[in-house]
Parts: sequence; structure tokens; C-alpha cells
Amino acid sequence: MSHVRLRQVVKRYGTKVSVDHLTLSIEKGEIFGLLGPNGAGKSTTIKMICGLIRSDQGEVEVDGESVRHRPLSVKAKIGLVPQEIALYEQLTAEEHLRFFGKLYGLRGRRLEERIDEALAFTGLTGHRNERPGSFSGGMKRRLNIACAIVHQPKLIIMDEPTVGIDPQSRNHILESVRELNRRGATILYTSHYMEEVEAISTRVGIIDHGRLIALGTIRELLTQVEEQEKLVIETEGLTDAAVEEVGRHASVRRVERRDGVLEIWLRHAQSYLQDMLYILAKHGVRIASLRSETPNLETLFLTLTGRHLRD
Amino acid sequence: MRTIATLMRCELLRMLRTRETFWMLIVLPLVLIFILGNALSGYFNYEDQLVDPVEVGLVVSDESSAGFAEPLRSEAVARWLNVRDYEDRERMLKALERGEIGYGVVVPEHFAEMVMNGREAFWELHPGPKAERNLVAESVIGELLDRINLAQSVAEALGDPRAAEAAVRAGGAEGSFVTVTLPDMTGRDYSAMQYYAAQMLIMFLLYAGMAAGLSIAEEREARTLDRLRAAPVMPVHVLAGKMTGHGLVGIGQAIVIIAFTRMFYGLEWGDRYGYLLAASLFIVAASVSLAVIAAALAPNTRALQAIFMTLILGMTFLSGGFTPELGEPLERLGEFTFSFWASQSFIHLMLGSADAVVREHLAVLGSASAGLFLIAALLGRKAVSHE
Repeated sequence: MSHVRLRQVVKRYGTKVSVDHLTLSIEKGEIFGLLGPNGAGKSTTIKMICGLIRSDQGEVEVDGESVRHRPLSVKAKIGLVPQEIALYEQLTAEEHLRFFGKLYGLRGRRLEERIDEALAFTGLTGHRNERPGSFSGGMKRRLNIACAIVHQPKLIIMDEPTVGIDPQSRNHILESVRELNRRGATILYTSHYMEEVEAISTRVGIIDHGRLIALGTIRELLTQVEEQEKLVIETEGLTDAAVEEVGRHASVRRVERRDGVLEIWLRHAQSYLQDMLYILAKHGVRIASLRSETPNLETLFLTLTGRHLRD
Repeated sequence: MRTIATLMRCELLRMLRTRETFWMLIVLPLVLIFILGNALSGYFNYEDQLVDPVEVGLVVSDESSAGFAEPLRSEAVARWLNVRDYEDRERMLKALERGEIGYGVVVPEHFAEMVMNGREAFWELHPGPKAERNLVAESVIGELLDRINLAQSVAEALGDPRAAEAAVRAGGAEGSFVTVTLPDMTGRDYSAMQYYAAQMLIMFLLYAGMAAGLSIAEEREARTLDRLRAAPVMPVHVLAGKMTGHGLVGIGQAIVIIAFTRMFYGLEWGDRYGYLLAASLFIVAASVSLAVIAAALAPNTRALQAIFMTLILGMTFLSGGFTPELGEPLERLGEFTFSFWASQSFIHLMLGSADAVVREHLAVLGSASAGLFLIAALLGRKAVSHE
């Protein structure tokens, strides 16, 4: 069953179309990665799902409820981790969680339990009485997440939650995302770091100029660019005959020679690596170095748009 | 209500933990009241500027007219004139020449008879060498002569010549001959400290509103407002919670300033606490309403600050908050400002003006606040979302 459903959603700012007839469905219990470069429309999409802005056209539903018609009911089901660290300098970590917990209707013992759980989950129990001013960037990010999960929402939306933090905190956050998912939450995770999306997502949507240009599991998406798998072999004594014979192999789609460097585009490179080496050896070509380049979401994005994700 | 209370508590906590708030909203106004009240007391403290009573030589040429001059000896006039009697005109003029007296008055023969018969009658007035003394004496004597004219009219109307003298005597005993007042006042005056206390209280209550507006704009920029809006809370509740928090701080600020200036500066605010509270509430309501309006219109904190500063300083200046003597056109313009009606309300309370007068000013103040509140209610959503 769909947890989030967007149908032909359009959002314009003046003459600029930020989201352009976006149709998307996020299933319950999945980690959905929404990938796209800066300004692609990821944050606008998230804001529409959270009811922060209204779509100009189309329908947004969460758990079958329209965001437009039942905004408060929908908001109560969502935990939003904003892109910016949205914290109050004057409140301690615990006061933050108490404040947001109360806004989501928690009171009394239940509230206290949830505060303890959120602090423990984000590793901030020992800092509960400290204010964000004394926190590192990673700790602030974690408190940013704790505020969004204190009411234990079934849908957690994370808008680029790892921007500007150290690798250790990033790993902590990614592991937290997986753990939240294991506990039953549906996660919508946006990023322009394709490694992160690849690492945690069960399904991925790639958005550019407000349009969804690719959608599926990582495996499904990568099949679109599998022909771009490549072997790069640095050689000595490379001959035309050797290049010609490599090109004739059934798995090879294309061969390029630049001085002593041979680039071979082929399907299932690992399976046919042995064949390539055998041909080169047969022609007396020596191998100085060899590497395999596997296509990823970046390759896919480049193929689909002609641009890099971080352009 | 619970949500509003939660938001209000958060706002209060944040303000109380911001050191600048305390300095800006409490300490600074108290310091300014002290400085301005003392430095500019020359504008206000009439008692300090009073000259000594003028020595007036009085000659009453016939006994029947003595009653008309009697008010010059009354207690009310003693603050201004010290009357010395002379037997005749010549002796009085010599005393004037010698500087023994500063002013001379001769009530001529048959003065009473002429007045009572409705005929034209004059007092001889002899100014001395000092213009300032002459001015004081003429003010008092002029007032008395006006009363005599009035009494003459009464006598004619009643057809009873004795009524004129009785009317002059009665008026002289009860009334004050010289009043130093601002328009609509009851005849009492107020000190510079009182004036600036009222003005500074108003100005800094408006600044409390600016803090509310800045809070909205800052939360918008820091994206914490998005976080609030992503929670199951209606935008109007977000605004209500924040504004109630700032409103409470404003009321607290008014109470502290009034209590502190009363206890430590000996400042008289009047004893009608209900009206004082009402005036403060109206100002606070107006200031937080202005905050919402400014937050809706200003694209960022800097613009909001600029709008508010211009508004507050402009209104305070035009209402005489920095200097009370602005000249006719500006003073007229000042009457269209919120600060003017607020300061008039406080000053009337300080002077003990009649309830009706105070209520009239509070009604204007309340109406202005209500108007601003309505506009704020209309723009509230835009202030929070700024979509």
C-alpha cells in the first residue's frame, strides 16, 4: 500500500516551474531515495508532502489522506528532518524534544519516555541538558533528527540530513536511518550524494528540473547503464591487431585506444576479464595496470541529463 | 489552548535566556527615563522656575470699591502677588520709583458704583522696571478684571447691583488666578521625569513588539518556523503562542518600569491601576499587532527592523517623546500617532484627570489597537508562511 502518493503535482514560483507534473508513489516500509542536483525540486516536493506549501495542481496524499484537505491529520503522521539545522539556541536538547513532543500531542509519562528514547537513539543522552551552541555539527544534525522522531512517526522525511558533517557522523546518521526503517518507519530520503542514496535506499527516484526522470530499485536503474561498464587497461606494446581482436569479442560494445591506454566498454566486465587479458597476452601486450569502472547512479544521471549530479 | 500555551512557554523561555532582552526592555528605558527626566527638566519643572511673588502697591480710593480688590489678597494669589496698601497714589508711585514695590494698582473713586451701574470703569495700572514682574502681575490682575467684567454682566442680568461684588468675592476665594497647564489638563503640572517615563514606557513597549516581529522573521530565516509549521499546529496558533509570549513580556515590562520608577524615582503614575493596566495592554496589543503586520510585509529581519525602527522613532518624535516643543504643524501631525494617545492617556492618569477624560483617551487608544489587531489577523497567515 502506498504511504505517500503524488499525482501530476505542479508547483510554480512565478514563471519558474519547480515541480513539473510529478507522479510518484512511496510504499509503506521502504526507504525511498529521492536523488537530484541542487534546485531539482526535491525540497519543494518534500514541502508539499509536509503541507508547508500548496501545490498549484495535482494531489498529494499521505496514508490515503489529502494534504490539502486534512493538513493537521497528515502532519501528525510525519516527522520532518529539515535540510537546515533548525534548532533554538536558547533551549537544551531535552527542552527541544519536550517542546516538539508537546506540539505533537505527547504529554506526561509518555512524553518523558519518548524524550529518553529519542535522546538514546541519537546518542545525545549525555548531552540532554546542553544547548546546541556547545554541540559539534554532527551532534546538531543528530538533535535535528531527534526533534523529528520524538513522536515516533510512521513516515520520516529527511531532506539532505548529512550536509556539512564529518564522515563519522554521516555513518551514524545513515545507520540511524536503517534502524528507523527496521523499526517500521517509511523513510523518504533526499540527497545529492548518490553514494548515500545507493547505500540505504530500497528504491530511488531521480528528479531533475522538477521532473522524475528515473524510478526503480538500484538494480533496475543500473541496468539502464550496464553497457557503460568499462575496463581501463594501461599497456606496453599495444598493437592494432590486439585492439582489433578485443573489439571482435561478443561482450564488447566499444573499444578506444589512447596511446598505451585501452578502454573497453563491455557487459559483465568481471566475467569476461579473463578473455580480455588472454587476447592481449596472445599479442604480446604487457599489462601495466588495470581497473574496472562500474556504472552507478551518477553515471545514470549523466547519461539521462548530460550533467553531473553535483554540477 | 494547550498548543498555544506550549508555544508561549517556549517563546518566554527563549526571551528570558536572551540577555539582550533584559537590557533592552527593562534597563535601557529606566536609564533613559532617569537621564532625560533630569537633563530636560527645564521644559517642565515650573515650580523651579517661579519668580518670587511680585510686591504690588494697592491704592483703594474709596471704601465702597474695596471689595473688588479683595481677591488680590486671597490665598490663591499670594503665591504670585504680595499686596501692600498705600493711602494715596503719590506714595505708591514713590515706592515704585524707589523699587520698594514692583507694580502699582489704583482702584479709582466710584469704581464700585460705576461697575454696579454698568458703566465703563478702569483700574490704573503702573508697571515697574522689570518686565518679568510686570508680566506676572498683569496676568493675575488681568484675570481679576475679567472676573469683574463677568460679574458686571451678572449684575446687569439679575438687576441687582450687589450681585457683582458678591460674584467677584466668591470667585476670588475659590479659583486660581494663574494656571500653567497643557491643553485639557486640570490645572496641575507634571515633571520631566513623569513625561519621559510615559514616553519611554510607550517607546519600549513598542520595542517589545519589534522583538516579536523579529522573532517571527528570525525563525523564518533559521527554518525553525518551517519545523513548527510541519507540526500539527494551525498557523494562527503559532502566531497566537508567540504573540502571547511577547505580550506577557510587554505587560511585565510595563509593571516593572512603573513600579521601579515609583519606588526609586518617586514618580507619580496616579492610583488608578486598572486604567494603567488597560493603557499598557492596549499598547502591547498594538505593538504585537504591528509586529505581525511588519513580519508579513518585510522580506527579512533587516527590513523588518528598519520598518519598525522608523515607525517607533517617527511616532515617538511626533508625539513629543524626545522633545515636547515641536511647533504647531508637527504637533498637529503628532496627534495622528498611536504614541500621542498613549502618552496622553498616561499623563492624564498621572495628573489625576477626570475618569471621563481618561476613558476618552483610552477609547481612542483601544480603537487604534483593535484596528491594528484586525489588520494583523488578516495578514497573520502571510507572516508565518511567507509563501
